[in-house]
Amino acid sequence: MSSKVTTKKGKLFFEELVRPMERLAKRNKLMGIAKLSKLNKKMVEDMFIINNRGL
Amino acid sequence: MVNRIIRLDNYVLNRLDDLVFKFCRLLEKHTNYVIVSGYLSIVFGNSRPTLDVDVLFDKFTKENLDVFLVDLKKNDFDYIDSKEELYEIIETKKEKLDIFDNNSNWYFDFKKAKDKYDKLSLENADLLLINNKYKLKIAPIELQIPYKLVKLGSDKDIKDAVYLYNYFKDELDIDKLKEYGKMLNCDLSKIGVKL
Repeated sequence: MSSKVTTKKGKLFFEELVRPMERLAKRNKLMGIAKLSKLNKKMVEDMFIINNRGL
Repeated sequence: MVNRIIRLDNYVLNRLDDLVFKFCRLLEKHTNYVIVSGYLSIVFGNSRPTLDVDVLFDKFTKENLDVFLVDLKKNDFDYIDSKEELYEIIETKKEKLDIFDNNSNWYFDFKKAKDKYDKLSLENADLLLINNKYKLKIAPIELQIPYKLVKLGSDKDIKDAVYLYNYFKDELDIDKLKEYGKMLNCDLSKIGVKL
């Protein structure tokens, strides 16, 4: 995908939102769901602990 | 009825997944439903925090809703609205119902399908089959992408849309994606879709 966006806002949109997610999705697809979901489990479990402080 | 089956094998379940399965198992006894928005991006590996899971439902009678609410309480879910307010949601006078999990801070944004995009999501739902065992009805990715870009539009939603597009790039029904994009007046070329 080539960037032809020239406006400041457009550039930000592309560089901050689109490009990183393109890369992440590509890496994740290559990694495969078994490893990926294992990583995600760790993050969700950490979040579960943070969410439940004080409960 | 579902549109197609998306399989995830060797998937490692987390607590949020467990909670979503538990909720949907209770719900499917009473009405047709579909999961939309952030959880879809998360279940396909986008590691981002969330506090809620958005679920659209089709129809509820008052009697059905009563049974469902009892089921919820029995299964460690809770809600703070009064019975009258809960009845209003099935008549679409109320926007949504928040259903809380008693063992975490996660909650479900439980909404009645109202506009045509909600109804398209329900009618064209895909079945997500995890480890050949766990089933969830999810909104079609082809609709979620333009919907998140146009109707929701926060940075988080745009990132979800870009993530889903790139993750499913080779498997998406591009004609459908373009059709929904046109319907929503969405410029999909911005996220790299070749028009």
